[in-house]
Amino acid sequence: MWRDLALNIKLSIVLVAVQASVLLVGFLWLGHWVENSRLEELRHRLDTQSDVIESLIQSQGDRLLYQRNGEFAAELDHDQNIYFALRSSARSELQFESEGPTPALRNKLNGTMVRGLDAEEKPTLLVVGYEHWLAQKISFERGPPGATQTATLSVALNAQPALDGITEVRRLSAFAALGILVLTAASSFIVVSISTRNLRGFARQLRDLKPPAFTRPMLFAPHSAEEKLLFDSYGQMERSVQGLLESQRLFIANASHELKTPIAAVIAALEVILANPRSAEDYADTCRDVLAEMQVLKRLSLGLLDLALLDHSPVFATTSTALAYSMRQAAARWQKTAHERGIRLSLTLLENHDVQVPGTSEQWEVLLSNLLDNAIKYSESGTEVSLGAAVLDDQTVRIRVIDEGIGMSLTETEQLGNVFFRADTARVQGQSFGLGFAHCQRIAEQLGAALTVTSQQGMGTCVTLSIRRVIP
Amino acid sequence: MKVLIAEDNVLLGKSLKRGLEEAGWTADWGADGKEAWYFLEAGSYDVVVLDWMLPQLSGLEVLQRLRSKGNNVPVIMVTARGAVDDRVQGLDTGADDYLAKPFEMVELISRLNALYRRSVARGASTLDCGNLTLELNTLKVFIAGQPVELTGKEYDLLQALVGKAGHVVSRHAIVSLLYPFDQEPDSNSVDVLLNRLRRKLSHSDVEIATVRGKGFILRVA
Repeated sequence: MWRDLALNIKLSIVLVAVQASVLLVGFLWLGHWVENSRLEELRHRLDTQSDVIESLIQSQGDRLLYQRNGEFAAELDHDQNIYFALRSSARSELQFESEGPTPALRNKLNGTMVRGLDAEEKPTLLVVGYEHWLAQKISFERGPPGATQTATLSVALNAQPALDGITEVRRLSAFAALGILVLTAASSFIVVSISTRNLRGFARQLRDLKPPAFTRPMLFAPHSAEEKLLFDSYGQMERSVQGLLESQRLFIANASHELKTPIAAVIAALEVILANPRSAEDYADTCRDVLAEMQVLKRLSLGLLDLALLDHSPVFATTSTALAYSMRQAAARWQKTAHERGIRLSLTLLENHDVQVPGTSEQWEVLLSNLLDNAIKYSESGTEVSLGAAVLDDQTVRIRVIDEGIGMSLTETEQLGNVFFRADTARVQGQSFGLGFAHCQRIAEQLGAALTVTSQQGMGTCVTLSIRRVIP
Repeated sequence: MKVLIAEDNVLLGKSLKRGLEEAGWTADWGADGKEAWYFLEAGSYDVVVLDWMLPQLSGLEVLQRLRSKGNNVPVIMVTARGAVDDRVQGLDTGADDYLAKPFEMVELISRLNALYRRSVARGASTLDCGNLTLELNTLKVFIAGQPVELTGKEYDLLQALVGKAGHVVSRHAIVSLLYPFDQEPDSNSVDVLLNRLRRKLSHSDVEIATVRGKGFILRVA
């Protein structure tokens, strides 16, 4: 589900979640801070007012009285948001109370404060009706020395306006947070949508690619480093695919030619010979020609099958072969052919005949035979073909097949690995199909060997095979 | 009717040459592109059978050279490359027809005849000159509706002359059209052939005149 969502939606969801968390924490902290600040302010005010009210209480005879005649004292006495009451400790009766709040409220406040205030000078938030009041009580003494009276002064401040303010601040900050959240979510969605629009277009074009072409010109202008990297990577892949398709197309064209031509030749030969009555010798000649053509077809078919099998055969990394043995066998096998063509075949073995190389003896037989076959095929009489081995270092062995034959141009050397490529098709008509070197390359790849070719037209060719020796 | 076969497969080239010769064509066979080009430069042909993938010089290159030199000889590409793109490329380069390998000999011969008719008789199956009629499919000749027996060489000579009726045809062109490249005819064999043809056409209203030092011309009397 999450994996299937578009990138812009995903990023928007993540951004909204992160922003909502941050804003929630901020909102809670802000509310807490505002509440504490306002209540602290109220407490401070309560203390101050308590001190002032206490200072305005005088002893008169056996009673304590609040001095109401001053302007300030009267103002306090009639302030609707302050309530204070004085009780004598000795008689525990109400000596006096302020007249700001309504009598009903005063009555409730008095009762609540008597019940709700336990400790001395500890401001407590009390609920009176629908309002909150911050209240505290103070005990003090008044009177001349020896006739002091102890009394308790309860003071309450209406905290409701302050608490309403706190609630209002919370509501406003919640609205602001929500607004910020919506705005940032929408803008992040828009920004990400615009940023990824190019990529989505590119992805849609990729989705529309269909075989067998797979590739087509892409309408894509990278707008960021990442998009450029993606587009460059796609370009690289496209070139590889084009190369593979081209080599596949070339292979099919060549295979068609190589396979269909002998078939066409056999059909034509048989059609012609059967069109009219012929002599027995004529029939025999045609049969011989057809047989020879079928042999060519057989060799070609088997060569192609071998090549296909090589591509899928397992690599025997643990198998090793004695290099000297394989080289001696290969040289012995091609000695006769070389001699018949007037070519001298020389062999140079390593001093240590026990050197082992990776691969099976069959793989080495095919590898060395193909290289020697090519060297002899493309050499003139009177020249030399040499097969030699040398130790490069403690771990690497180099095997070389050098001829003094017709050689190849640089372009031809580059095409050498292509199946069906022949340096001189006229020279090897019916004898070679251009499969041998492709065969060698695949075996070398399987054995982890490096196969390199250097050649010069008219001078000859040198094929070098470098491979790590197997240390027992 | 002379055809050049450009084919690198020995058996196929040999069989095509033999099959076409037995079908009444005079055939030369080039086994690679360079040899085919040499034949084309040295002789004249009514049709060319050209393989695409020839060694030395590809069939396509031979065709390009041919057309760039203004040689409009009909060419049939005979190749294993049967993909549409390949056919289009071959035809765009100047090939007149395309035949994918493997093919039947009868189809090749039929297509060669069609190409030949198209170039000689503009697609018609007969070639008429005066009261003379040549049937291009059956290689038969009629004078005022009556059949005339001609040998293969006589037919080829008559067709060459009728095809260019009213124009001088050189002795070299006749030799080049009647005999394979590797066959050198006797010095008077063309004259012997002409005399025989003149005798057989004595009842027709066409005559073959000798233009001294230039060649021969066929005219309606």
